[in-house]
Amino acid sequence: MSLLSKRIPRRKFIIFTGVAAASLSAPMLLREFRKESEPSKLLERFVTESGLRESYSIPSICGMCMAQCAIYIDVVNGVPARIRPNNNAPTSSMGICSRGVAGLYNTLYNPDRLLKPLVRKPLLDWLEGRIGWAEAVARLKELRGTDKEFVEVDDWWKIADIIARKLKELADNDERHALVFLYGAWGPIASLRLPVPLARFLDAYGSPNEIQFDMPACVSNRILGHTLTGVHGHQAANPMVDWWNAKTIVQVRRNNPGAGVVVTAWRLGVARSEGVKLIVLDPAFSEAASMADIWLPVKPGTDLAVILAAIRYVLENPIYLDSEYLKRFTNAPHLIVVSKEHKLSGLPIPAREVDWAHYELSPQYGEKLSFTVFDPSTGKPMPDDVAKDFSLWGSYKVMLKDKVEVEAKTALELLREWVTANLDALAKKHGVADYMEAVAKEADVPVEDLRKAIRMMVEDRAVFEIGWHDPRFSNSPQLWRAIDILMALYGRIQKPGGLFMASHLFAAQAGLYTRLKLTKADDPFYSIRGDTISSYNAKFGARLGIIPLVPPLPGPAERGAPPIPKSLTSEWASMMSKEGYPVLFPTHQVQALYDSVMFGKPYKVKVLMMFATNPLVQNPNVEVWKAIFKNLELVFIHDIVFNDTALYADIVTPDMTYVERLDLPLPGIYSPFPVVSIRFPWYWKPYKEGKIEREIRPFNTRTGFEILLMVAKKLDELGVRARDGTKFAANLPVGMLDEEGKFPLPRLERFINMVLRRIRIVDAKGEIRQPTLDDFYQYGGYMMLRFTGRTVEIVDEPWSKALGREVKLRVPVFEPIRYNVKDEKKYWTMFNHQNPLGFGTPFPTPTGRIEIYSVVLAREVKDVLKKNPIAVNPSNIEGLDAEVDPLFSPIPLYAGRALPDYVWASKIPATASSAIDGLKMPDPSKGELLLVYRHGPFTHTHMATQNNVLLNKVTVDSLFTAWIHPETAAQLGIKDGDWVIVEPATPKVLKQIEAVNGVVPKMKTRVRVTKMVRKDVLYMLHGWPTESKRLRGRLERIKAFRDPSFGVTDDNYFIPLLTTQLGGAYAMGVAVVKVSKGGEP
Amino acid sequence: MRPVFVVDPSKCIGCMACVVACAIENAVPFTLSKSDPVGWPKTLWTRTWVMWIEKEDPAPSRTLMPYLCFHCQDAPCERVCPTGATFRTPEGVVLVDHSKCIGCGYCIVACPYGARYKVKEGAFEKAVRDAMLDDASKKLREAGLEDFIMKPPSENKWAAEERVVDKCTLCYHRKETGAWIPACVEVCPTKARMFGDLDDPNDPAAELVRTGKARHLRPDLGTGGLVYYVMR
Repeated sequence: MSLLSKRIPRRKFIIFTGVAAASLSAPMLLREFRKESEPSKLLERFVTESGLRESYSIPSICGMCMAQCAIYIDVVNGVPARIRPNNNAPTSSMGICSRGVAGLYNTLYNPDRLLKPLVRKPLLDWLEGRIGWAEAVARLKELRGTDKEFVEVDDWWKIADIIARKLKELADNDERHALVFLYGAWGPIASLRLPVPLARFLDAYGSPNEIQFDMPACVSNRILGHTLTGVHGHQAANPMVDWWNAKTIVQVRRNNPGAGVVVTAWRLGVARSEGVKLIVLDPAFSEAASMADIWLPVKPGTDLAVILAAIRYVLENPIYLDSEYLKRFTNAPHLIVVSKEHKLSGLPIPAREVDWAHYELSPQYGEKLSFTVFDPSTGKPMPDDVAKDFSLWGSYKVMLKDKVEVEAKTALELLREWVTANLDALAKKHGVADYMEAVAKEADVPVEDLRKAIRMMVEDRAVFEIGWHDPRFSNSPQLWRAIDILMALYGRIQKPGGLFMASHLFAAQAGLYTRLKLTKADDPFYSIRGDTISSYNAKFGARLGIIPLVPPLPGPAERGAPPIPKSLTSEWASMMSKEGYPVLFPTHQVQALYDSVMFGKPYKVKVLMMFATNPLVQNPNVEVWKAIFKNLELVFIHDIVFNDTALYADIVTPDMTYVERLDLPLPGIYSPFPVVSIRFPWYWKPYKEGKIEREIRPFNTRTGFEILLMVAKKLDELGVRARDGTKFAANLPVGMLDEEGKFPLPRLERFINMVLRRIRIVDAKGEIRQPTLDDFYQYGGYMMLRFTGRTVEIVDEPWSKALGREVKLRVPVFEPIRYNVKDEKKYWTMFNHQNPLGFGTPFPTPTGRIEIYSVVLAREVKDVLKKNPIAVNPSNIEGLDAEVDPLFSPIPLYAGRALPDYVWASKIPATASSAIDGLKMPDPSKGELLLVYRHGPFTHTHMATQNNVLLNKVTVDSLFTAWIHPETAAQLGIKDGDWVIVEPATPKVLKQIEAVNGVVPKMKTRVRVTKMVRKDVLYMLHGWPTESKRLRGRLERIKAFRDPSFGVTDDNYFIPLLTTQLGGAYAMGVAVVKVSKGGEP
Repeated sequence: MRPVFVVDPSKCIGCMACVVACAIENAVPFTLSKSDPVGWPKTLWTRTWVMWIEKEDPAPSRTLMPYLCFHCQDAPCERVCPTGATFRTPEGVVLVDHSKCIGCGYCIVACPYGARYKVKEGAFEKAVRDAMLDDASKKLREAGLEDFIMKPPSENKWAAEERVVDKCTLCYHRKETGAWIPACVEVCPTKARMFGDLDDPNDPAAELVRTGKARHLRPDLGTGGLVYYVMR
């Protein structure tokens, strides 16, 4: 009988039995109290050992988003009951957000949680020999898109068997590359903490195809813009604004207090309360805009023009220029060859190319991997690491060793020339004299607000947040470049009050740098002053705070196997290039799946495995994705619920939720200081006390790690070898599984201690040793690590054994620190203000400096586009016929394809490919509006929380409406609260849907008529698809605002699937929809 | 100990962690609550809320306003209560003694701040069933685990109960643990909600009150109270 049906006042259930503990910074021990119900059979064993009925708190890591806030799971009477903040971590210094607090309603209390593996019947028929593979696939394809014929399976080995057999078939046919791991990375990385096992499995198997679609769908543009400049732009570096010393903060395409990770909202709030000003550029009145001193409601895609105006303002008012900073830390003084007919045209001059004898200077200057500047104190060109002074401006002639005298200008001179010419051309286009007026017209903002904002930015030397989600336009990488350049002009990068690098993440996020091809030591344009990104991390790593977390077993790559060929991204990028549509910096190109699966180009992928992700509806033009998923051979998804993508899967397996898992260590994302954190499960205390021997699994679940190991084990049994001929068990800890395919807790504990083996700490007794899981537990799961300056030599025993030779290396020694918010400002000085970047440690760019003129970009224009980067014409605004499109300019410009895509691509007829064409300009008078989606608020930043009934309840109704401006609404006869019909109006969307014989989507949604949004925009909360009806909480919440019986309920159905040419990202900001008045549901 | 509760709306980001933490701590049947942007406990059926106050003229503005019972010194709810169920603790916290409350609702009408509501009979069963949480509970039970869905996670004689009036208690039940911090304050990631002690000279929340930077929201109503707002 349910306790709830009793009418006895509930306080009588609770019997006070003990005395409890106290301090807020220590786990709050709770009183024990007796419950009236009998222990069930499953727990009987544990209860009789008298361990489990107690109450205690476990430090753990929240899994509700990527932030890695530290929490306490309060266990009461043997049951997880509540989640509270753990303040001993820099991500949860003050508290946690609603998602974290409501975590149990996503996990244990989730009514739609998957409890058992599901496999479609045709697969079981095939496994058991009743039908052949061809017939199985044919039937699977028919079933995809429905939830029919799923059979509950108890034996996980069957699943491992199916997958392994299919992978064996691929291996036998020399098609290992036909396996793709697909996910929005924050699921498996931050939530599951699985990036290393996933990457290792693929390396061992021999597929190069790990596609983290959240690169093109979210972050790759912004990361590219920053890394091209020398700023580490991963969003984990978002906390790296020096809030404590800033004067003015600017947010562009970012809603810090409205979505994402809450830790930065705290810091912003304190800064604001101390008088720091805020400027926000956003087409709608976001939560950030409501806190701003100035809100510029820019026309979508024109933010770049605003920043260029600010750059010009600084250049024309040199009192704001930090000349010493520019000389010391940036490539502003580097001489860029402007002579057109030379191999170095458009590039800086490496010192080794100069004829130093001509200047009666030491020939040794030619042996250096430095770059050339003009030294006014000598009146000669000099290497930048020898010159006593640097000219920041001017044009110079330099004699090169090939006896050609080239003309060169400083990067700063080029910046001034090009930005001035560009904005003058914009002024001419708008028929005004003043560039500020021109930009105000272009961005459609009041000119006085624009002037005020730019003055405030420049006079206060404002710091910009690095941004977050920006797959919106082709020009997005240039926007972030421009922002970094502006901050460099007034000296706010790596300086108090400015932006700092999360240099402790350089190694963990080394993959971000592969696009830059900094891989050839000793090539000035393909290295970091002679170092590859690997040798750079090895050389400077300890100083930069990099923490060595290394798997206990080496894999093929570590044993020296060459890179895996036939990467889908690379081959697809080559194919696009040959078809006349080059992508300069491809990465994780999920668009390749469209060409691969639908058209077999560059080759067909066949098996898709997904972990903690929902790509069907997380990528644009959902109808196209339905077709893609229908056409694969085998689709596997691992999650805690039957999400929308599961409808298109053949195998759906249930995960343990984060409160139930012990997870691998993760280096400190979202922390402004180097940290490592480890997630402990709710039953850790009784386990450590020996009261239970194993993990507690209420349901038939496996972790993602376990699944990978089970498949690896089966592959070994089937005789499939890793790509270098070794057994999978030599590459992955297959031997640690038990007969049920579980990784028992004691073995996982040992494994994690091995992962920590290369870290050295000075412990409380002054001894130098590795930290252990027990240490992490004592520290509350979060350990800050400060490099002491010492290194010690160690022998890596596991690798020595595995490789058959002694592996000796030097590792850093850290001081472990338990974070305390009272010392936050001290940590900033300790870790960030004293960060060595720029002081003996180069920035990670070819010049080793912050690049006003991007060398990598110039290099790629030459090498990939086969054009001369100096041939950019900054005055050619409409520029589609330009020799070098300004989109690729080494100095950001607002021209050509760097205008918003819906402007220039509206002139090009629609095709079905992912190249940009077939767009439309908004026309509010006809109800044709730009679709601008938003994330957040904090209650729901991502889809993973949308089934949480508690979070749904606290998300205010007004956020679920689609916002439309009163003037636009009046033109269309729409009133506040009306239902409207939304249809795609972008020709490209329709063309792509037609190409796959898809269904044209439509949506019925309620509107809010408000001035909080631009007239040309329809503003909507992102997500809330209802393909899967099994997420009942989500369905219940959204149906009052988007009618699932009428049509679709998610914005991604209306956006074309595009590839932008600079970063390879999507262009999610370009979709125009038609809005018309609709009836009642 | 003289507690004060200080709210700084300028730091509030509307993350609603406070509302969620309160609902869990005090076993509020939250699935019956409403999600209006502007509302009070009386209209929303929850102990605390964050109002999204948005205006458009002359220019768009948005204030996020955390809201709770003000624990008045001169409390109208206490005055009108026919059974003496509503009372003030020595620290000034206004509580409802469930054993005396007859659920007449007079206090709900009397409160000028709309800080109270009544939990109806059958509320918990409906709250759980409507949100399919009985499903979640059943699955856990079959697996051998119990749950705390709409049950207080710690000993709490002022947790929400059917047929009695419900309101913010400043998590008075936590006082006995020796670590008295209301759940909403504990979780608030920006410390827009603060809890302090006027007797502690070093307490930053108390300092805001002492210096007059934080004041009563409606001094014109003359009820006083433990809750102060920093209005910039």
